[in-house]
Amino acid sequence: MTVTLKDVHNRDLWSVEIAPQPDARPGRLLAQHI
Amino acid sequence: MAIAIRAKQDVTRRYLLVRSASSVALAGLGSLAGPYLSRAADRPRIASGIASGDVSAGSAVVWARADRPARMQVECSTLESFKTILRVASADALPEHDFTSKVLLEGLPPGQDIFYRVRFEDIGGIPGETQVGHFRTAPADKNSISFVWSGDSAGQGWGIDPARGGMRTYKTMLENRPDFFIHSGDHIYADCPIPTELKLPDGRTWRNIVTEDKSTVAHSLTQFRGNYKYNLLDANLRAFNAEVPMFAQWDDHEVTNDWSPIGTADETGYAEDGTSRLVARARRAFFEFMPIRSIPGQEGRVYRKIGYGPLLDVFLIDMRSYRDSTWNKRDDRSDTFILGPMQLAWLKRELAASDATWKVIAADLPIGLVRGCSSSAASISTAGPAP
Repeated sequence: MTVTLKDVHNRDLWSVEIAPQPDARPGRLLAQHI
Repeated sequence: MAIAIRAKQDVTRRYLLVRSASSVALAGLGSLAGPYLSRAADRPRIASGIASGDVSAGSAVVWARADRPARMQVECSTLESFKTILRVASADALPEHDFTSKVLLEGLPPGQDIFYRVRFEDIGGIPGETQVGHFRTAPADKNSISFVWSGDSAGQGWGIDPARGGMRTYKTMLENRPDFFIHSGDHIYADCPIPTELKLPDGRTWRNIVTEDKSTVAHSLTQFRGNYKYNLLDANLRAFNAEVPMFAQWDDHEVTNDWSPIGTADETGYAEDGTSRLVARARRAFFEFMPIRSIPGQEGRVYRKIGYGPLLDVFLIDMRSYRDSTWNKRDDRSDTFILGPMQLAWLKRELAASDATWKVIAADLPIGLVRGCSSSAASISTAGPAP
């Protein structure tokens, strides 16, 4: 997944790639710590 | 500032035809609207544009507002020509809801561009103008998804300056052709009147469009509604709403700055059940003007999950309505809470049950790490007021 921060002129200010971790069950892990 | 997300997949991203709202509206006039015997002023008008929201694989909410008592008629099709009508729906637009109206379109095909057209008919059945909008249903397969999120519209007195192009962020977001838009709250700044002019640091002048209801801090239902109507004067926002479905949250400024359930009231005080009458008016206006799906038996609930195909579940949370009212107001925060027990239990349950590859939690407050020294940003870790 690519996350990009843009300004009002549609210029990319910042971008980051996040890889999926389908086996990590992030929802389950996160729920334990909220 | 807007943030765009694009889930990377091998599938080539679709090319979505996006036109200006006016040209799309003209395309729809041919088959739906016939010749009229009455003058245009006698026919119901669409007063604040059209919008869609809470789109899933098989359903979507369509919203519009009339200029008089009328019945909203909605037709949708997978064809821009509307040669074949997929679904029809209708609902009243009445004075008790400021002539706003919503319908839930169901039984839609997944992963499809859906074109919808809206018109109002007055009590005599005389139809008014037609406007055409678009949304795309969530995919059934692991197709690419893109969405944008932003918030904070017309705050601190910075309203619509036509000479500067109005709310240009919406034009920019539309150019990115997102599948949907998460508005993470502060759709309005009910506590921030819009003045005629503001001075910029370089000495130039920002000249706002002004309205009576947006010229004072909102207390009445009419004033809260007037805040939403003010934003919808902007052509960029109306064009965006017609093309991109919204997932709407709220934050504090839909009511007043940094509000909590207890302690936020004006001279009208609290109802018998202990709820603030001011908050009730603000919540009512929010639900009237947002294309948000109603949850049966839980009227006024903002937090919800929207499943957007196998790749994505979106969890929209409400960090205002159930918070401990002492949050942010005392040093010992060990037993304070933001989400409230019911919402927290719901979030845990839904996260654990989600099989989507990506789980996006949309929060109206920034979520940060709890640190010993933090003073630079408002978040649930720093406990500062929301921007």
